[in-house]
Amino acid sequence: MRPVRRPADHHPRRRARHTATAAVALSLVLSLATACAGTEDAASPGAGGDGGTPTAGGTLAVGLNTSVACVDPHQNSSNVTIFVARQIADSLTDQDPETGEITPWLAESWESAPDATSYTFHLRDGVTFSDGTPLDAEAVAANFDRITELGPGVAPLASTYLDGYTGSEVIDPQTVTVTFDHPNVQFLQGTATITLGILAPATLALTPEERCAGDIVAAGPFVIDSYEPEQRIVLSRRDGYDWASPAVEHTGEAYVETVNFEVVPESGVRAGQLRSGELHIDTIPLTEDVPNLEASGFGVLGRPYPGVGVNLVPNLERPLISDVNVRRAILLGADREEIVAGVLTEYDKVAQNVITSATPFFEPLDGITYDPEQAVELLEESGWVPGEDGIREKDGQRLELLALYHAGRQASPMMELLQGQLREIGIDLQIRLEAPADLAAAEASGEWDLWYTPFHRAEADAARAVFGVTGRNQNRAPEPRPVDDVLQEQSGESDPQRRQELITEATQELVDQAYAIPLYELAGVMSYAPVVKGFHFEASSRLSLYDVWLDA
Amino acid sequence: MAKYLASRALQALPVLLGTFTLAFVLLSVLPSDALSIKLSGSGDSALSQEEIARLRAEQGYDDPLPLQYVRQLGGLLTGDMGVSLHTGSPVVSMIGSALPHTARLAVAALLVGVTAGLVIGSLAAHARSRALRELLMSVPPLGISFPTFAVGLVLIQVVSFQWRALPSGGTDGFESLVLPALTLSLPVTATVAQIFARSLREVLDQGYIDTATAKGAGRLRLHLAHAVRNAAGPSLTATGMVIGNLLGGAVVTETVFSREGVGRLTADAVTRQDLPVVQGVVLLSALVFVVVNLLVDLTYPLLDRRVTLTEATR
Repeated sequence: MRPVRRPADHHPRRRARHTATAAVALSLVLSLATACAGTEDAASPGAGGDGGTPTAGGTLAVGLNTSVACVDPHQNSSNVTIFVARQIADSLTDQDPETGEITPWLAESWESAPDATSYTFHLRDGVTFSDGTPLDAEAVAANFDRITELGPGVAPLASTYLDGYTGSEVIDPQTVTVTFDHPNVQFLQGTATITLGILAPATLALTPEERCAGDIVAAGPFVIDSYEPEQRIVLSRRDGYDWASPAVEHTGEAYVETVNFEVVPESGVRAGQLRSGELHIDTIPLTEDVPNLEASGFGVLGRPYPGVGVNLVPNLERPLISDVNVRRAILLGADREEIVAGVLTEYDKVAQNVITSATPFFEPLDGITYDPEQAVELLEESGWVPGEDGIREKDGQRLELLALYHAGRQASPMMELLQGQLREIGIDLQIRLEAPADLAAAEASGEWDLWYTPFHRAEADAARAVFGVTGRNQNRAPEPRPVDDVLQEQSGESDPQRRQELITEATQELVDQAYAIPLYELAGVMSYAPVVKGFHFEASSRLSLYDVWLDA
Repeated sequence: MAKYLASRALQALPVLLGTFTLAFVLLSVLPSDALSIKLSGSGDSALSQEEIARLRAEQGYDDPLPLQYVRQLGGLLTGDMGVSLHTGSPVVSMIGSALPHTARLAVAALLVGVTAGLVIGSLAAHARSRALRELLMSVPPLGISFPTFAVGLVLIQVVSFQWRALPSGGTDGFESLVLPALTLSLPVTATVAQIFARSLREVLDQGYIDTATAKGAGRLRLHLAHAVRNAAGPSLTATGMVIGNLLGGAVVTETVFSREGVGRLTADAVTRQDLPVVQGVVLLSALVFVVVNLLVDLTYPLLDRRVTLTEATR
């Protein structure tokens, strides 16, 4: 089966913008890198987008920043696992990265019950796993059964998608009905993620440890060839693959013959390897390298992660921040334009909603603006008056708030900038970086006023999952609020138009009450060599290599 | 000899038990545990606090600490160090597959480092010109003040990216071993050179050297046949300590050079708070120290006939 390119009328391919940017102050190592190897590949400035007829073949080297702890997508949802697993396993549905619309993939069509308690999938004919067994209704049912059997301790994220799962009924070899004990509207988008990717029954029969260690058979365009998680994972193209999702650019087999995922922990070394041609794609370049890479002819792909963007989430159990005026003052006192222009890339966007513009059902909201005067008014209204050092006080108490955050891309410079902005209106924002190891305990302690929380999910229900009392209740709301009813209602609403209204209503309420303080939309950013063509993200802004080809 | 070895092994037990206990105490006072970390993951799963608490209790994280301690110690005695919380594979086999890579790196670094250190040290001790001696003696402090990661990065940028002479990383064959071994050997060279030069000078000042000179021994013979052996003792002890530290150096070197090994395993385990693996690595380094010390003590009498093993057991 030769790879066939789709007609051009499909959605336009994103073209990486190349902005020549003035050189920034560079570290010793970076300037060495630039001096050593920066110029020779700079010949083709428009690289990376369209142009030329795709050619099949070649080996693509992709740099990962950490070893893959577990390659089983059902068990692990870290970025590196998703990057690898997405290439080897297909899902029941796919999601159009442009519109967020759920499109067919392994399922040709589906129906959902009006109350979203059951879904019937009609599977595509002739799909086989790479061990030759058919991908049929039995196999799909076995996947969901097995995830439920493993439970949230082993398969945390997959279990969330299957929340309330009661079973799958095999109607005929190509038809399966999945039922839940309560409305589960987010399940359908879950079926488009790699986390609910369909694995072969033989794989499901293995222990979770064996699956982690690379023993994964699925139905994707690549298969695992060799697996050394500390060093290199080699995938090879699967012969005869012919069930690509309509959301990608071509049909038939993948273009590149081999994919080498190389584990290169040091970002400076990854950048050097990209320049020297040892790597074709760096999945996590340093933010400060991005303008320089673009200026020297390298491609950069960036797209906001869908889901809940970077928000600060107030803890309603704490006295100072439980005052809506204080919360709103922070919302109005944050200069988002300055944050994005100052410490982020051109691919990160100023927040217009609690959820990001890459999320289905996104609509820009009112009231997410920078208005320090109004912020000051609100604080004065609540009786906060400037003290000696410029920080506001009331009854001898300083307006001091503690924000906890964890290492995300550019999280620290962003928080420091925000700290300065809030000082302008008289709020003393204390910021504390929590190590991944301490995060869960710090969160559970409740000893914080503001929580930093991106939550990546191409589903508007992410807002309920984070803010709703039935979800994580990140606000630590002591009792259900009016907004919780709306958040709950949208999660059981299968009429898209009505759901849109409910989601906009709920997110607007989150902003009006400042239960959420949206800051910006963090983007997935990757850099690639000029020889890499046809590179685009999937709907969750993660790596998709099916359409990639090498312009030798 | 057998009696000596047995008594040394017996001495090693409390050291290992102490290490294990200390590691257990330190890891258990950390505010969080691996399960909560795994569940909170990259922040994408939306399990409620109650559910996490239920899973914690189910998997024994809420048991009293003494019970957890006894359970882990029991496992250790049967050669079972538990399984990694992230991959599910046994800690013993994870360390087993990483160790050969690190051992190869450490041996290479040691060979390069000790050789270079002995040569620099000898030249410095014998140098007639004061300026040359000062210059040579300033090499060790210089070498030890360069941070390993910076040396590694510069080597990669120049040798791999500019000259394209050697691979910038990986664990494939001899070529990929050269740069990391050089990087890791730097502190070894520095330590050995410094100590060897000093003890060699002391030895060269002693009377029997004058006697040998008077009997007509040439410089080279003087050095090799009379001085080196007596001067080597302190360097041997220092080398033993450096071997233990190589394990720590491997954390940085293996990360910078994208190499597989115990160092990377340690770094990953600490970041992911994979407690059983951390525990295993800590025990491994204690074991390495114990074994290396024993080897050093066994080598001593071969170098210096005044030393006997019974003295060492005192």
